[in-house]
Amino acid sequence: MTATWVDKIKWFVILVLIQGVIISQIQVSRYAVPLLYVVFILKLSSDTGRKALLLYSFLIGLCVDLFANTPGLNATASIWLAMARPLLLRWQTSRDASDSFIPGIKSMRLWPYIRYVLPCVLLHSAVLNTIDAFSIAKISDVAIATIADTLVTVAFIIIIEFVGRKK
Amino acid sequence: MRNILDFLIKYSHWALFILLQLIAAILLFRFNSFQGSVWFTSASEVTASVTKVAAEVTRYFGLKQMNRDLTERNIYLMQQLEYYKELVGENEHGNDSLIVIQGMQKIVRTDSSVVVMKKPPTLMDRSFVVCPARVVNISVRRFDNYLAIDKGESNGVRTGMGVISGMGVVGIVCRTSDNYSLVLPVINSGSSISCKIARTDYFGFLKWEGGDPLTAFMTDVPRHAEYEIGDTVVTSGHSTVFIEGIPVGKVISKDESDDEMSFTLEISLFTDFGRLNDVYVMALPPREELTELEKDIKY
Repeated sequence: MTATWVDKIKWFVILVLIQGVIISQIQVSRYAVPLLYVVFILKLSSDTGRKALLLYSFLIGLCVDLFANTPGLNATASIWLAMARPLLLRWQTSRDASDSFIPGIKSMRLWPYIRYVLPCVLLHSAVLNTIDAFSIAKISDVAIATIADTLVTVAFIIIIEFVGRKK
Repeated sequence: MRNILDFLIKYSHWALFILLQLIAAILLFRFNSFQGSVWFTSASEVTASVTKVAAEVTRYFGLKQMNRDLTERNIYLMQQLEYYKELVGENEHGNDSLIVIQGMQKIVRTDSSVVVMKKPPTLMDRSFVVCPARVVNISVRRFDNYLAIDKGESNGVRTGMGVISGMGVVGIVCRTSDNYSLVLPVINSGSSISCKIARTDYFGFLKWEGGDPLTAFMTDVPRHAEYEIGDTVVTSGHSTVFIEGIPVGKVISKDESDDEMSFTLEISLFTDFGRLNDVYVMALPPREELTELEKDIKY
């Protein structure tokens, strides 16, 4: 998915537009907003350096923020995810660290991939919703929103994975 | 020394993380101040021109509902016309004195909502200009929602102007770029609009505390205020933003508060932000004269 520079830029733009223009405008439910752009961070090659990972995440988060009127919000959640990703990815792979691959069902098989995606998305939406609310009083709202966002996002990511594999 | 350098290089990503976190935090906190840059919002030229294209497309899906709203609005305006015709008729029949009607209301019921006719404007009403605009970006799900419209400084829109829709009050312009503006809607926890109960004229402030985008609260209503469930709440006209009598919502219940001086009413809003397409920016004439006057009165 993110093999070359051109591909990377292409997916970056596509995901930001989908997130900023389509998803943020369709208000199906108050809770449960798919945070589809997270796919970009999750699908970066496994040998991407930590600093590169941080910068990519920060950039895509900031671009999504511009559309959502939340400067810094998605950017913060994304860099937290970027910090946790190498650890969560290593837990689910038995390969050598030197082996570079793009995380996916093909390279990791279904269950390890889900076990990698789920905590990543959970962390991301937990940070996002906590900072968004910025209050202890709304803790139940934050918890509901976090779980709903996570489930919807993971479902979307797995569906995309299956659709992409058939091609 | 070598070890220290190794250590620094090994953990340099933490330094980068902290740096990026700081930048993000600065952006987060700066945005909360009312006078910030329009650059990091959906009303900036780049993002707004992108979302405008998408909004144009989604508009077509809302045309059916829009037609219904327009029909409702038409009925309301026709009845108002009839009302004025009657007034003029009375006048022609020899009654030359100035007609002052106070507290007069007509309620028009249609299948989906209740439109309340505001008081006929009196001679005291200030004239105002409206500028139609389209919503290009809106959020209703967050705790602090915003919406962007496709009219900006080049169209005469300025910070602090009121925004209304056919349904009722929408919000206040908080930032402008050349061709777009960012609006702080009623459903933002930072919003506070002066309003009153139309029937009894008691004042309060319209506030929103997150959650359902269709319900808000009217706070600081005096203890002795009279109200009934179902009463209409309208703008009070006390601010320089809205004229008097723009529909806001209906009273649905009373909220018990600890404050001994006032209570809070739960309001069901007329404006459905989930399907907001067309809005109007309201430009009241400059109030310099009034501001001057208020300055003079201060002792």
